[in-house]
Amino acid sequence: MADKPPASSTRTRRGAGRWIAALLFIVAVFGGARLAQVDMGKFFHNAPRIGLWVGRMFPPYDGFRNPPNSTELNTYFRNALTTAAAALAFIPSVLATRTLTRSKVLFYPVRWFLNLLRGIDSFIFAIFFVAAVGLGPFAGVLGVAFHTWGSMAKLYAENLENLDLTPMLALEASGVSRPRALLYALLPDAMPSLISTTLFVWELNVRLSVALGVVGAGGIGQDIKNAIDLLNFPHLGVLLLMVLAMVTIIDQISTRLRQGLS
Amino acid sequence: MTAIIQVQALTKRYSEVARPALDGVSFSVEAGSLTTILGRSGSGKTTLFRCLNLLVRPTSGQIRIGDQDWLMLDAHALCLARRQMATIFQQFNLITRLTVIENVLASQLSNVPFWRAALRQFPASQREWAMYCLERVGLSEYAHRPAGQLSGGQQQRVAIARALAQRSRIILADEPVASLDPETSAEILEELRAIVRDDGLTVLCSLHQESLALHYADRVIGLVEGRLVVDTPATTFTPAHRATIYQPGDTLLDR
Repeated sequence: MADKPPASSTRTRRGAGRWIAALLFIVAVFGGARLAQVDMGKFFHNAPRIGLWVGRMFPPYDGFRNPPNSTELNTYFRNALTTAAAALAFIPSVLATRTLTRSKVLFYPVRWFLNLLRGIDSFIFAIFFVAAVGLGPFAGVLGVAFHTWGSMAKLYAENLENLDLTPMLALEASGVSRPRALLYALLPDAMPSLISTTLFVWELNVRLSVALGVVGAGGIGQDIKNAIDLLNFPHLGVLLLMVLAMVTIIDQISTRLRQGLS
Repeated sequence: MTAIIQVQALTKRYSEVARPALDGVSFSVEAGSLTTILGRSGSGKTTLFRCLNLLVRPTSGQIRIGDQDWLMLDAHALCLARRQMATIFQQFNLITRLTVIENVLASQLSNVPFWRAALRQFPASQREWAMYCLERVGLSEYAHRPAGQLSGGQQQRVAIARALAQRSRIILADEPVASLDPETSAEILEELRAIVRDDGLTVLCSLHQESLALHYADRVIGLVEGRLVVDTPATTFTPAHRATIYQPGDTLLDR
């Protein structure tokens, strides 16, 4: 290439860039640690106590004085439902796909709105909905659903932007309307990545909603918090094992499904 | 014979500064004929096709298809009007994940209720019609294979079947054989020729190879830098015409 700068100056510039990046990284690590009041001394001083807690979880058996109830299973079904509902995000995601929506009046407001949903974490939504609809799983469902809508639409839109549009345009050139052309020519091509994205978000949501219980959104997270508050470590052990088992099972299912698709 | 496509002083500018992609092109095409457009890359062949099915708006000029003034149609009327015109592309543009028959059935999308389009459930009469069109191009035994598994020539034949199934009056073929080997190219043009002969359709087809054009076409139109420089029956095409279109002397082959 004729317009490429001489190799030596490129190398110098790139070298300087690397030093600056390294410096910024070091500043960020130490500055962040200071701001977050990281105190490794405190951590090591108290480490034996943490070990003690873990020790007291064994054996993870509390005589079933607090039998695990259906809230555990609930968490997963609820999440499957919430994620399925959030899959409707496909509709706004089409509008938020640059290559598909040429109208700026439509594209930007939809994109901003989805960014708003995505920018606010499920936790914040859940706390908000606990205040609005009261303690319990419903607040958690709403929290997860609202945030998931935003992030799923974003992921869908990115999938759609990478697709080859020519088969769809070919149909439009012969007078097929855009919605029909999109469903017929683009969706089959998009399906594997859309399903894979949905399964991925489901996994995330399952782990997330365990934590959501802590802010009063019900489910197993609530039980975990209660067990810690009551210092009932064997019960805590049982609950953590259940979470581990379920997350592993879901990981397996979705990995299999995704392999089957490709 | 009546003219089915009439183009008057068609001009398309993509930018104010560059030379127009099409510069005052006028010609007409008779119904039931095969017309080829010759020209080098960048001579405006593709822009002409994109103007004809209004994928791009011409800057000025007139297009009449049948008795319709093409540039006066509103969005809905255009959608209806486009159904009279099928397009075949260099890159085939099939839906590779769908089966061959489903690709042919895509031509029926505008004729069925929305739910049928969405669920790919077509009535038996349309499936039979699509199957018949596949038989016409000799691919009925591939009907249930994913279109992406077929060879280039076979995929282009599926595209022809789809165009045929659309029951359109005109087929626009934008360099349909540019990515195929010579033998397959001849087969594809044979197929297009048969459609003109047996079904009375009108085909407008751009090509790189002059020999194919002269062998299969009724008329030859030549474009150079967006201007129409040759418009002649294929039987009276002369080396002088060839020289005008390809301007010898500035390629390695001609030296």
